[in-house]
Amino acid sequence: MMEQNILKESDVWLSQNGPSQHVVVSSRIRLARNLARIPFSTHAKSDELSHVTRLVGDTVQNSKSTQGFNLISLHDIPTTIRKYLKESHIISPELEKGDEHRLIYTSPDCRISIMVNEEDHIRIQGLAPGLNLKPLMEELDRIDTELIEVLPIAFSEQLGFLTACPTNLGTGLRVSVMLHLPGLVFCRLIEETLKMVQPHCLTVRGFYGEDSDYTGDLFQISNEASLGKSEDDIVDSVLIVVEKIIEKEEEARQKLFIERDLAVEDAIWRSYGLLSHARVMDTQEAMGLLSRIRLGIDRGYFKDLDHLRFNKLMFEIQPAHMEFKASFKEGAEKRDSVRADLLRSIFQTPCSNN
Amino acid sequence: MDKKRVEIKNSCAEIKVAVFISNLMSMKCNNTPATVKFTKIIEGKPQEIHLCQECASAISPYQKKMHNLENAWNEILAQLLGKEKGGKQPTPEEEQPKEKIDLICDNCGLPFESYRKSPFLGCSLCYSTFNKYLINDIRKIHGSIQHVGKVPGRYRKIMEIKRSLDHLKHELQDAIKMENFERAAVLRDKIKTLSEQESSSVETPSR
Repeated sequence: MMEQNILKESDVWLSQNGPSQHVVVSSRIRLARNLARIPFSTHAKSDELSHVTRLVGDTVQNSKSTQGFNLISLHDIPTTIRKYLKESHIISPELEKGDEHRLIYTSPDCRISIMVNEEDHIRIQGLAPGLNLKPLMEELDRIDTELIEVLPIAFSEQLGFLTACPTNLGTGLRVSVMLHLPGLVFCRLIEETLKMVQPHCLTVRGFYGEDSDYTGDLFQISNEASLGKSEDDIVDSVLIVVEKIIEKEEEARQKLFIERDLAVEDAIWRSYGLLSHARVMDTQEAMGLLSRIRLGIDRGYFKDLDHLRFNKLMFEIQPAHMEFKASFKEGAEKRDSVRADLLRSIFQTPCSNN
Repeated sequence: MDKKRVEIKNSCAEIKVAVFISNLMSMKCNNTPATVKFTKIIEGKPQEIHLCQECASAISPYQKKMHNLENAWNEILAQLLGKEKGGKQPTPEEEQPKEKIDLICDNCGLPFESYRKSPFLGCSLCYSTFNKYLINDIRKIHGSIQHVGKVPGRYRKIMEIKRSLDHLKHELQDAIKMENFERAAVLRDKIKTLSEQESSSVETPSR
């Protein structure tokens, strides 16, 4: 089964080192494009959707920069795999529904995906470990240029790339950075720090994007406006703010480290206690406990767990990832016990207590 | 007599929040002194709402997403206006009942009214059909209505042609003013050729 091989690869990029990986889990960029005149995927009829998949498919297959990309028809794969792909941020929640004529082309390392018939006809998305926006932007730009030079793309000189929702007009660009900020949350400085994004027209979202909670102290910072600024300026505006937040998070962790606050120590070791002994654990709880562990990693408490492994772990414990590990046996109970087993295997080794 | 003044400006929504001490009562509950002032700039004119901490915290922008503030603002305004009919607060433009627009996109058949109910337009041509009614929304979302950034190759050509056409037309006017009819004839021919190129590149999208 090709999809299952793809799943094995899907989080490999997370094991690669990236800049500022002690705070930044991942960088994500997407470009929204549409074909002129054909109704947007939200309004298109079945034959129009399949026309889009044909046009885009032909172009992707003939483009140099997309050679070796794998095709997955989301309608034809099990729900669990769609959920898995969503958890890995390879597809959007919209594509998770698995309606007909919804496709993705993914690069062999699963970092780049071209979604067909999401709300827009084409969404080109790239992921990278750590804070890696500029190289990622260049990579996507190459793919995008090849596609838009061939396809009859919807564009206006005034409004730029025309998108299903006016919020994505202009560059069609959304730049997001996923930050893990347990230090700022623990110091109660998080609200104050996140205020910094407002004057820059940026927004803060949770782990799963729009309307999601700030699970596990994970925050996604992304640009709000996509029209009236160049691609480079948008990337720069996100970078400036993210770099400031990283600085603040480092300061907060340093402060917690120096003060050796008993409450922090207690929170870290209590989390460790549960992670190393619990037999059943749901995602929410695990995310919350793991977040505290990050503070312990900085202190050298958990020798087998560095920042990189930790970032990957945040994805591995997601529900569909657990189901996949539990050989697709669905059910929360099974999943939660597999999760507890995984976490125990990581945390059971005795830890040095400085 | 501002004791503590924290100002956060969202350049997209043009909403200012200021925390201060005043002798006004909260305009929402009307029994606690107002300590938070919301200012919104509507058509260049600042409009203020004074609230106590409790009323304000119900719409704290730091706990919710920033764009919720816009909704919260409208909600409060609606509540206030409901309380005091013909109240002192001027009605912002968004609060006025929107007139029904009977416009339908020729290409995809989407009525403008159904865009108002969902965030999506029907097709790329909806943007030109509804331009007049969309442009304010777009300016509000992005703070701009002029694309800067990547342009697909064939539009680059069109944009270059347009720029040269503008230039040539100016030159033509100058030539006519100077009564240099020989030059004017040359320019007129150039303009004709370029205009043909322009319309042909618009008509036949490359495949």
